[in-house]
Amino acid sequence: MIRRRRLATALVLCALAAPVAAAAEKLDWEVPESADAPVPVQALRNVRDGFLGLGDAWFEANTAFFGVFCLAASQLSMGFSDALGLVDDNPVSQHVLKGILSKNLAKTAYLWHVAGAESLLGGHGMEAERWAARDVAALNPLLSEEDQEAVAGPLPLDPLDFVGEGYFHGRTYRPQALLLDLGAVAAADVVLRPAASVLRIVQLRGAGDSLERTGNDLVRRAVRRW
Amino acid sequence: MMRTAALAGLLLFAVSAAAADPAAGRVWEVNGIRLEASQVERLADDIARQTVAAVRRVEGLVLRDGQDRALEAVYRDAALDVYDRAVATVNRSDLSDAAKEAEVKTLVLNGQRRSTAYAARILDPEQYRIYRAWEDRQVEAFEKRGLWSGSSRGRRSR
Repeated sequence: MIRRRRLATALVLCALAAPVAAAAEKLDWEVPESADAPVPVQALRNVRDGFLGLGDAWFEANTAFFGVFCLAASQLSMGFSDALGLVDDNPVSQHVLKGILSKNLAKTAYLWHVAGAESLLGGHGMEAERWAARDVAALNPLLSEEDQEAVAGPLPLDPLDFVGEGYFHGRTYRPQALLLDLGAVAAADVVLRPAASVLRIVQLRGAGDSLERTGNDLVRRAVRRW
Repeated sequence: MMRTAALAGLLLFAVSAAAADPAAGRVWEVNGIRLEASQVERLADDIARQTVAAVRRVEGLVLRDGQDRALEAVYRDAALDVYDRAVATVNRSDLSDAAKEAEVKTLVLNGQRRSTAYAARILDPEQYRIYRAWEDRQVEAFEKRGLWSGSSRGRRSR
């Protein structure tokens, strides 16, 4: 009897897993829900989305703050790299030292940069947009490849911005961008999005959605400045 | 290969009626990732703004106050319209990849012609002459290259 029940359970699980596995290729975390659900169901959904929104804001705040930290570490590392480059990679010393220290610090700076950029771009709705932006922009005949890249946004920078020839890699230094990102993330994830979640919980769904969009737009605008 | 990948990407663009919010307008789904109406609008805004930036770089063409905003509005509407139609085309199961690409290219060029007609109303005759010369060069280059020849998939993983 127990074995039969286990078998039935396994079959049910297999049946449930099949569509999940088929959908696993997609990166879609949206769950389709009917728009014409009864009012009590909509009310419950608002409460659920409010609490989930609080969690999402908390997680995305952590990821974004980590991103800003990584970008700061990248710029610091690049500063050391450029400074050391004057010693181990000048016209005389490069023949002896071959810029080993400055080169590796620049590589480290790039790795920090990629981690930071990906952390920032991986939230606040940008993870979906950036994925589509360039291919959609490519459908505009008036845009050059550089323009298409501009539509996709400045981050992450090109590796050559870090390791290209030269004593000073100016494009990698943007301390003001970090402050902007920091302020935007704090405003969005600590104030606006939690407030949006509370509005949803108290059944003010439209206002909550609008406030959340404002917060995400704020972060997006900040991240697109470099 | 790259073109097929890009076409497959666009193939999964699906315009669905924004059932959850009737006022939300367009919602696209790209390779299983849903772009909300506000994200679609932002993308169209970015593309329109960048197109105006490209126009500003055209030698000898100086836009006056208001012309840039008018052009931006034209490019924005054209972008949304063309992409909606492109999505519908690549969702057709009765067309091969090559036929879809040709059809999408035609849609893009038709959209470009419509935006040119609006640009003619916005620009002075002299500005329009310069604009047209530049536009012809851009369109010619577009017709020669594949739709996604410079795609991020091929050059840089963003």
